[in-house]
Amino acid sequence: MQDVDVAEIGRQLAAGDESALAEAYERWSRLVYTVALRSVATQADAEDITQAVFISAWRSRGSFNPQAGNVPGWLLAITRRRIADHHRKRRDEVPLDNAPEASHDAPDITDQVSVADEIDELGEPAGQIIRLAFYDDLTHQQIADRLDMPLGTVKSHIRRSLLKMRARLEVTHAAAL
Amino acid sequence: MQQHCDAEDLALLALGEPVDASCQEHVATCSECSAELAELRQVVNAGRASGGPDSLQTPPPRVWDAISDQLASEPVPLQPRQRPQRRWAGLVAAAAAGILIGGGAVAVITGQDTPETVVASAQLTPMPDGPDRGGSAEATLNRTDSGYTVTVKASGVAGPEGFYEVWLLDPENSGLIALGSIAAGEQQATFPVPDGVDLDAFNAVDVSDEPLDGDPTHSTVTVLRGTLET
Repeated sequence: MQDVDVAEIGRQLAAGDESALAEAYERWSRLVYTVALRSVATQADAEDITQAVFISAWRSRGSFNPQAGNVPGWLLAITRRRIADHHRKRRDEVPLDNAPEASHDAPDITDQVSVADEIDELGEPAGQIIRLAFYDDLTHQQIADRLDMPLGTVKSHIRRSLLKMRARLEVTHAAAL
Repeated sequence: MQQHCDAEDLALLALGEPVDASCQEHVATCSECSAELAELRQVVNAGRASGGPDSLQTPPPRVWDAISDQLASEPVPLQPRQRPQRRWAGLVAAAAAGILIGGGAVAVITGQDTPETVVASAQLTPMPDGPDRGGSAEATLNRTDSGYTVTVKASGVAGPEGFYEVWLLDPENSGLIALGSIAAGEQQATFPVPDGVDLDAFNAVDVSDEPLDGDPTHSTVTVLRGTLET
């Protein structure tokens, strides 16, 4: 259901519907802003990048193909370019031997934030199972005990959730090409 | 030949849980299972390193305020196709002269009595990482008695550093066919499409800023682009 909504936002955006931009901001500004915050030095820079990403997205909506891509992947591709621009400008300002090497970790940060965002979209109990497995380091046996669920159900939730997160990363990587 | 690992066991392995020995041994020798495991591990590592969904941060409200302020003041109309067509009528002759002199190619000018059918259209917009020259532009693919033409209409686009060149683009294969040049400002120009071009593949219109260096290839500086849609 989530996916249908995402595709619909993409179609509306490509068609020039301004409310679709507001909707995209509502859903994915955390994604863009968090990636920016983790990639640049100050909150003000992260805010500027977030602003630039959504302005770019609106201006270049004609080049977004709703059949081929999804909106969060496309927004993150723009985010990466804006962050790279930011670091390039900074490199010009500081002496070369002081140049930060920050831009190398941008793709990895994008992966991290994309997966975190996808966990939020998993629904329950899948989201809770993944949180317990990822952040509380519980085994599937411990999770089954804690949630009073059959072992097989926990295992199948874990597998399906990992596949969803992997698919999310694939779309994000495809949009970056 | 040992059986592939159970799919759920691979997921558990990716989380770092022990699974039965036959699967662990199998993964070490099976490229298919080890590739799948590596991808799932990438997901787990990214998720664990992220700090979790609760660590995502919401931008302060002033960010959206700045975005909507900026977009509200833009000259780009939300519905460009609703602009009155007659606005362009007086400009056609000027555009024609420019293209006939500049292009050397035969330029067909769309007059009111030229029979043509618009078969696809595209809104042309700046690239996310390219220069933004403002204004707005659209392209149409037209069928005429003598073949296909592409018409580009631009309004309020700032001047080029060299000159603006219009291309048909095959996005899949990065193929490019040069159609002709177009001036800045308010313009409409129509270019014939060479016979035999596969319009299913060459389905996008690209406008580049070309330096006056005599190099006929694309400068890679795309100012506007859009996909033709029926």
